[in-house]
Parts: sequence; structure tokens; C-alpha cells
Amino acid sequence: MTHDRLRRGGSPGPELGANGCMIVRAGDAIFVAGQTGAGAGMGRGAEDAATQADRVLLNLKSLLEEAGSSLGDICKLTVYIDDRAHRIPVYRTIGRHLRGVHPVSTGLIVRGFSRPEILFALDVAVVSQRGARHRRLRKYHSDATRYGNEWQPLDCEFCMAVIAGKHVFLRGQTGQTLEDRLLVRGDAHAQAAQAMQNVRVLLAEAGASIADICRIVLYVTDRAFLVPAREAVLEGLEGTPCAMSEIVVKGLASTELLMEVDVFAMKA
Amino acid sequence: MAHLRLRKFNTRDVYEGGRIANDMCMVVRAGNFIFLRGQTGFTLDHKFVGKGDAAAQADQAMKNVKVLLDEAGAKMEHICKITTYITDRAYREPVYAVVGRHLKGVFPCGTGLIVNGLATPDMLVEIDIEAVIPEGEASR
Repeated sequence: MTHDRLRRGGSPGPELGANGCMIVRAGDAIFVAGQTGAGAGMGRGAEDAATQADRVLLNLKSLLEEAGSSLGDICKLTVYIDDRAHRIPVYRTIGRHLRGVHPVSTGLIVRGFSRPEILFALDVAVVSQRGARHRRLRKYHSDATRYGNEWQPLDCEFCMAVIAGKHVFLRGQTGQTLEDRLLVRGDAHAQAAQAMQNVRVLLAEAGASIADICRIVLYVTDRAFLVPAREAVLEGLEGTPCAMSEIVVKGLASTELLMEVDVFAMKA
Repeated sequence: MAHLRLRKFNTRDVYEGGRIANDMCMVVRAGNFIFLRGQTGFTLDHKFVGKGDAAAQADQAMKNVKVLLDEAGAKMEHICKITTYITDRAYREPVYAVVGRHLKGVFPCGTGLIVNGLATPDMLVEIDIEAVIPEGEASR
């Protein structure tokens, strides 16, 4: 059986233009093109960012429904903005649309998107819930937690780990402990070591282990942090060879965070 | 069944300044799911091609993707998602022309990002691929 690929090509069309599609259904796994919501006449203000986020979430809802899924199946969000100033308007909009879902989330500030007027893009990892519901561990409300040492009124409901069948998705891990403390400042190796310690605990709580990790994406906010952060990640992998990508981004959830690591695991 | 981890390499040999002797790998197959290491202008023998030429780097990356998928028992047609990282918007057109040529007839979902940098300063593009072998084709 081949995968269902919905909304191929077209104009303005998906990210890959004529060669892409908006949504792929591969069994229970649903892949979605990065969603953006820029329109004619939009500026770069907070309300423009909120408007783009609103469009993205509405489009996402209808795309998932077309594929026989729903927002409630979302396991992980990767939120990309190009300016820290967009963080609050974008997240508050996401939070309003995803009330009660509790996905894990990774938030990145990047240099840009396909067109300069785009302020925000959203990637989602989605697994259909047939029968068994996804398990969502350590649910939290964004406003009751810290990002670095800041409180940010994002009004989002998230969690730390989602178990969807054999898939385990984790919140992007940083130098903050699972008790929400940033103990190490200015030291990318120490932050990455804390992140990997969190990964070990969260995977165990999800009924998995480091040996189940398939893929890692390491984000750092400066190239100078890459070697020390990578070393701590490699140490934390305890000899499990996995497929890793490394990206230098403009920023993370708070300026104090020097690195973040995304981990994708599947139970054997 | 334990995950298949193919084309392992020692990080001390591949990463500049690497002092940790760890095995990483180019591809992981977990059941029907295939995860690739982000592909760049580095060949699978760790030689860099296309310095200063984003299109040439993208072409090398996509050639690697084809080899790695094949070694994992998958095909280009099984690609579900491609995330394309470039370091400057100017690279978008040349990179997407090359990627589109390699993906003719596949129609994956894509996400495109401009980032501040990749693992080495010479890398102008990186391509992350997620693929799933359809049920019933998973014979290996």
C-alpha cells in the first residue's frame, strides 16, 4: 500500500511547490508540510504574528481533518519564529487552538523562511489515535513554568513526553532541570549534560531508554557552543549510535539557553 | 526487534576537534520508520564537495539520501517529509531546483528554514529526511 499524499503541488502551494504536498498519511503516522500564514499587506507587528498563527492553526485543523485525523492527535510542535518579539502573540494563539491537547513543544528562533513576510512557521508530528489514546506525561501550563529564569505568559498547555504507540516524543530539552531550574549559566557543555540527563529520565518514564533513540537534532545559539554541547550529547547517548543533525539558530526560548536537543525514539 | 543502525562512524574521526570516541550512524531503521542523519555536501566517505556552491551541496545530499534509503531497504518514493535548512535566502532557488529534480513524482511534505549556521561553516544546506516503508512492502 502506498502512502496517501493530499493536496499535491498547486499555487501558492506547499513548501516544495509542484514537487510537494501538504499532508502525507503513512499508516498511523501523519506528516504535514511546514505551515505558514503570511498574507498580502501584513507587517511585522505582534498582531500580524498572531494573525499568521491563527491562519496556520485553522489550516492545520482542516488539513488534519482531510487526512482523517484531528488536532487532538498532535504529539509534537516545533515552533519557528524569526524574532523573539513574536513569541508571546504566536504562542498565545497556539494555546487557544490547542486547548486540552498537551503536545510536547520545541521553540526556535531562526533567521527566516521562504519569504520575508513570513514571521512564523509550524511543524507538527502527528500520530492517529486508533483505540489507545496517546499518553502525555508531566503535563504543565506554560505560565506556571520558567523559560530560563523568565516567566512568559504564553498560555499554552504542554507536556514533557508523548507516547504514541511505539513513538516517543520529548519536549526539546535544555539546561533546565525537570524541576524547571536553570542551574548552569554560560556553559553549553553543562547545559547539554543536564538536557541528556532529563532525556534519560523522561525516556524511562515513557517505558523506553537511551537505546531506543533514533534521531537527535542538536540546536545551539552560537557555533562556539557546538563542540561542547555535542560532546555532552554524545556522552549522554551511552554508546547508542543514532542519526544526528546539528543546527545553529538565532535563539531559543530564553536568551540564557545556549542549546536545546530534540530526541526521537521508538520502542523496539 | 532492535533498531537497525547502518553506516556507523566514529565521531572522533569525523567531527573536527572531536575528542569523544563514540559511534554514531547515518541511518536508523526502526520497524518501518527510517531516520537519516542530516545530509549535506559531505559524501558518505566524509569528503566535502561543492564548497561555496549550495546547489552542488544539495545534489550531493540527495545522492546520499538515495544510497542510504536503499541500504535501509527503502526507496525515494517512501519519503514523507523533507526539512531543508539553508544559511541564506539566496540559496533557496538553486537548492530547491536540485531537490525537486531528485524528488520527481514523490510529493513529500516540506518545511524550509533559513538558519544561522550548520555543523561547519562550509555547509550552506542541510536536508533532513523522514521516510516510512509502506505496510506490506516491509520485507527486509
